[in-house]
Amino acid sequence: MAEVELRRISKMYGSQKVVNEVSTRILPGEFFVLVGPSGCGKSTTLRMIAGLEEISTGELLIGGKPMNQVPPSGRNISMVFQNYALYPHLTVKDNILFGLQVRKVDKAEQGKRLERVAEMLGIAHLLQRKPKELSGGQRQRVALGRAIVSQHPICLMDEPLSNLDAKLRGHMRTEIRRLQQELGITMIYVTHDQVEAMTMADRMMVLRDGEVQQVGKPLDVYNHPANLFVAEFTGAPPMNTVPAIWLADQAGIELAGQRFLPLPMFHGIKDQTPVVLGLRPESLQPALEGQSMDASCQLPVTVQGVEILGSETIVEFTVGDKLWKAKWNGQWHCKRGETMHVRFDPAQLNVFDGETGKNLAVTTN
Amino acid sequence: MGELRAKWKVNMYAWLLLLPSLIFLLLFTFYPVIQTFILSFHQADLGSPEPFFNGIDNYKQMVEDEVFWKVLTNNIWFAIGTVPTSVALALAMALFANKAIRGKSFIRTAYFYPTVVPMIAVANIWLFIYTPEYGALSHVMEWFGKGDMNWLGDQKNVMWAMIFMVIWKEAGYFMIFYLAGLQNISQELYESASMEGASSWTVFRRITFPLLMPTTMFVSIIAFTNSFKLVDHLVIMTKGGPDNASNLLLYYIYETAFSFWDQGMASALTIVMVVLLLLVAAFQFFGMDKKIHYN
Repeated sequence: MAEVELRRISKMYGSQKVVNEVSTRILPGEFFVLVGPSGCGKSTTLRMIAGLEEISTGELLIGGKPMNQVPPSGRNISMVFQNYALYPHLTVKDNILFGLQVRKVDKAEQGKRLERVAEMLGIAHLLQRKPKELSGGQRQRVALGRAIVSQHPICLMDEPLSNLDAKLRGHMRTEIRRLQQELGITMIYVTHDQVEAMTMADRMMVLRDGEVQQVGKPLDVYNHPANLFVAEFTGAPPMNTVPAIWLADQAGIELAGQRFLPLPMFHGIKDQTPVVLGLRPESLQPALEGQSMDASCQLPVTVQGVEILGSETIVEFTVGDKLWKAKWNGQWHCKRGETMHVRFDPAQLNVFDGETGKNLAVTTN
Repeated sequence: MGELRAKWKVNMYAWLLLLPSLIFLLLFTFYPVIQTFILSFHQADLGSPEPFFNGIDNYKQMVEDEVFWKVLTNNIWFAIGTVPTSVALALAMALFANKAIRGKSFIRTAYFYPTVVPMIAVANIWLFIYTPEYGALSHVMEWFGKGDMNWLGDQKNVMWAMIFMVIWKEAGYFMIFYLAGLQNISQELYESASMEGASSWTVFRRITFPLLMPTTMFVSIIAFTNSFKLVDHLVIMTKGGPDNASNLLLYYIYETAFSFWDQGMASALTIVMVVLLLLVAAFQFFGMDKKIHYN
């Protein structure tokens, strides 16, 4: 079956290592997203899976067979490129059928597949047009059609939505996800946009500087980031962090020498360890007067800025020397300089090692 | 009223911007063309102190002139011999120079080098190569035990010798256009084709060549006009001989005008050549243009 396995795959350009020993196993029918900031090696990894880039060290298996020496066309893979790679001189129809023509698929079969794909993507009325006569979204669909028509069990996508406007991007996200589920294909999808990763993936792999940071289900990654980088990379706005000192004797934390915060939860951390506290913006809620304080911690803060977005409000304030953001539902008319209390559930707090950035509460995988 | 004035103002502005180049065009292109056209209906040779109108006599004489037909057929063979070969060779060289991993710039320079050399120098170099007995080519022929050949002195060989030289001279120039064209083709297209497992011949036939068509079109028009325009080598090498075997239309016009001093006839010949070039360019442009994909 269409299982893709990466075994300690690395890519070197000269002496520079751009992908470092990436290992993972992508299951058949899975939507797997490679995500990370630009230059993290995610595209290179994808291109190594495609066979467009040579694998420096490590082993790639598709369906259990080693693929390192197999040319791209022998890997049972189709690919959607960032700029779609549509042949500008061919019609939509010829673009979609190019691969089938090259592989000398029977004419009648070609027609059948074309019809099905065109219907599935709603591009039947565009078949005689040239790519330059299409809008961005239509081109995207044609590129998808070309990948689907080959009926390969694995599809690779390299930032396919980055050339579309925000509204269309949201639309195509759901459409690609729907197609993948309908066809039951294995999808390996590269993006720098954590929102795409969160919304589309069955599992995601976060990469940074060619190293795997975390692999897991989007919500697991979101709720239990393996390290500080993943914590700050996921979520919009990202996770709030602040350096602090762990005081084991008092079972709590000292924030930049100013404030003591009792934290009953974490055990097994040495006294006086420098740590970094992390808290999602939506975990910080306003503490209303008269509310009981049990099981939640409170922080007095001074409002630095307010963004009212209509359905939610983002309130900014400093904790220690860091600017924090809290996301509250509804419209909150706070004023700059106003003092208020915010509360949070200690269970939602993440504590990271101050030196290595590793999450002290979770172990990876 | 105001609208008309505004329009006039805009137009005036455009004309003023065009004026400098227009003056030169009028003076050195349009005026001589019209003068040539008028002169072609006059007798203007050394025998007539003032040019006088003689209707289509020049054209009549031309049709009866054996040399004219000889020169015209020569030129057509010259075009057939040089245009497709030099264009195809240019494409092949560009593909190779683009793919080459080592010595890319050396290969490009080597291919482009004949273009940089002036035609007069090229003619002199090849004059030496083609020289019987002690020429370079004769030496090579001797090694292979072949007899000596007088390339430029033989009516059968002289045209081939010229065609070969011009291909050598021109292909590198056309290669530059193809190289630029190749670099305009997105690498993603080739990667996409390789995902499908297309052979390199399929990739060339279905992707590279069609996408280079605008370049091919442009280059072949240039090559064709060059085959009528390039006559410098004749001055050095053969002067059109032996017995007009290597003579070309433009050189014949030059001879008629400035050796025989028959300016009326030379004008008529010029008009014929211009019309011929226009016809071919029009065919290439309107006939083939529709089939070409432009980005």
